Order: sequence, then C-alpha cells, then structure tokens
Amino acid sequence: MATVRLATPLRKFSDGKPEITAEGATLEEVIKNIDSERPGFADKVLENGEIKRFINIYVNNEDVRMGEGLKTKVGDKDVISILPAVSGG
Amino acid sequence: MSLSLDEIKRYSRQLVLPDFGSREQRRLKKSKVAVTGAGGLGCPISTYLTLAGVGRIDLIDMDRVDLTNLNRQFLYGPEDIDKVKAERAAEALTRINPEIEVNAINEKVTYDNAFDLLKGYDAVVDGTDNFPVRYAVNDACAVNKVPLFHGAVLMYEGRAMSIIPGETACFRCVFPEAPPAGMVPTCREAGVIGAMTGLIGSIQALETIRYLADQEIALKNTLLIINADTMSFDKIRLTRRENCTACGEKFVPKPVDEVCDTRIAATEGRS
Repeated sequence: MATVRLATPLRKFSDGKPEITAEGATLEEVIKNIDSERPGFADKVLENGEIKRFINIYVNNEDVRMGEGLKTKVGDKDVISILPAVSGG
Repeated sequence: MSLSLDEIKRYSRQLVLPDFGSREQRRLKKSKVAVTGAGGLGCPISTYLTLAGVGRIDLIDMDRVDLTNLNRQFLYGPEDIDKVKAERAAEALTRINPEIEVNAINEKVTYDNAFDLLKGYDAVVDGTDNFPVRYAVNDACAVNKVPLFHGAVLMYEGRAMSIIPGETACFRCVFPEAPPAGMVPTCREAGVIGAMTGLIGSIQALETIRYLADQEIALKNTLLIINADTMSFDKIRLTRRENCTACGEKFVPKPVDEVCDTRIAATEGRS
C-alpha cells in the first residue's frame, strides 16, 4: 500500500491524521480507493476526470503533472502528497 | 561600505562562521529588504533580519495590534494594543539593533499598488496571511525581478520556498490558482501557535540572509513542507512553467478575488 500524505485542508478525510495508506496500482486507483472508504474525497481533488487546477499531487516529491498525471504508477513504497496552497501567516 | 568596531563586535558570533566573514556582513549592511506583513511570520522574519544586520528593512502592514495577536507576535505587548503594527514593530526592532534602518509603511498591499510598493528591493520576504495579497506580492516580485522568500502556515503545517526571478519556479508556477472560497481555512479559523510561525519565519529569514550574503540557498526550486505534529520535513522538487502568467514568457495580471479569502467552512481543516 502506498502512503498518502494529506495537506491540512484535506485532513477531514483522514480523521485529522497527516497520512494514510491506500491500495492501487495507479494514482487514479489510489484516489478511487480512498473515495470508496471516505466518500467525497475524489470530488475534492478531481474534476471531470482531471486533477483540479488548484490541487497539486506529487509522487515521491515529483509533480505528476510533469509526468503521467493520474496514470502515474504507484508502488508499495511510494509516497503520494496531495496539497492545495495555504496562505496563513 | 566598511564595518565599525561596534558592528564587528555585535556580529562577531556570525563572523566566525566558516563561510561568513566581513564581505558577507558588508553585503547584508548594504541590503534593502521589504517584509510584507508584521504578524506571526513578519515578527520572526524581521527580528532575525534585524539581528543579522540587514542594512534597511521596510515593514509593510496596515493592521493595528490586537489582543489575539499576542500568542505569536512577539514584538508587541499589551501596551501596544490598537497601535499601528508597523510602527510599533519598527520601534522594537530599532531598539534591538540601532545600527540599521527600519521603516514602517502603514499600507495595505493590493494588486494595484504592489508593483510600485515592492520595487527596488534586494529581496522581499512574504509574511502575509491571505491569498489576494500573496498572489499580488508574487506577481509584483516576478515582474520587478526581485527575489521573494515565501512562507505560509496552517495549524501544524508550514511551507517555505525561495523564488529567484528568471531562475526558479515562482509561487504561481506551483499554484496557478488560489483554492476556491472555503477550501483552505485561515489561521483565525483553524488556529495557529507561535512556535509554528516562528519556525517558518526563521527559515524564511535564514534563506534571505544567505541569499543576500551571496551564499548558496537550499529552497530554490524546492517547496519545503513541514508537518510539526509528526516533525516531518519534506522537500518537493519544483519546475518553472514557461506559460506561467507571472514569471513566464508573457505577464498576464491575475488579481485574486478578495472573496477567495472568505471566513467560511471553518471546519474544513479541522480534524
């Protein structure tokens, strides 16, 4: 299972925890699997089958938009980070 | 620009650092830096720039001190409540280091005035607390080609990145759009503790000092994400976007609507 790190604004889907684990061979499958356990998650990060413009997703600290996007392959040891911008100060 | 005997003594502990000497100190002395926001981030940022001997610091903030600021904004005390923040901070910093010049600019940064306000600096350090001003500061620094040292905090999560125009990704390269209203709560809604803004503000100050002193900096093309509840420090690699509307081939003004910074959905970020 891959590790999924959620930025603070998304942690209502992880009971407040900074990271969860999820099954899936691709990023898309991982998001779908999280959504099946935590309904509403996919709607929060995806729109019309694409990653929302104000959400960034990194697999092993690399931006998936620069690679294969939702089709990015994900393995057991991979770390996925999902984050919008934050602005507090 | 030479150093006085008093300055050599005042800065002696940093002058003995193996990669920091008289040349680096003199570079700091002739530097001119703007700090946007004199709040949770602005206090540690401006304090450490002051202590290190940055020659001129302009503090830009339009707020007045409020009792709710005092859990984290350590340049103020109860006697400062209702006083102009930038002025009180400038006085406190001048007391700490009278060798430097600290100016208070009691003004609100907007998309309309940011480009003029943030011109002619060696660096800008962003300690503001909302998306409209953050995007205004980013776009102005990209257009004016002024290095920008970014930091932001939400609960126990903190972020920092250093932006060198023409060389590294800017804030808008990473986040082309602000999240919609209500998705990302403000510190007022979600909460913030002083040690957290202190941590991120110190990182911003250190990157700025090293940059001004002509040393290598660590957060170029890098977004540092700290989760202090687990003490994880992650570095995300960033890439410039050629079609970025701020620093790309063609600048396109894109002010972020104030509506984006609404005070709703406070529960979004809570556990």
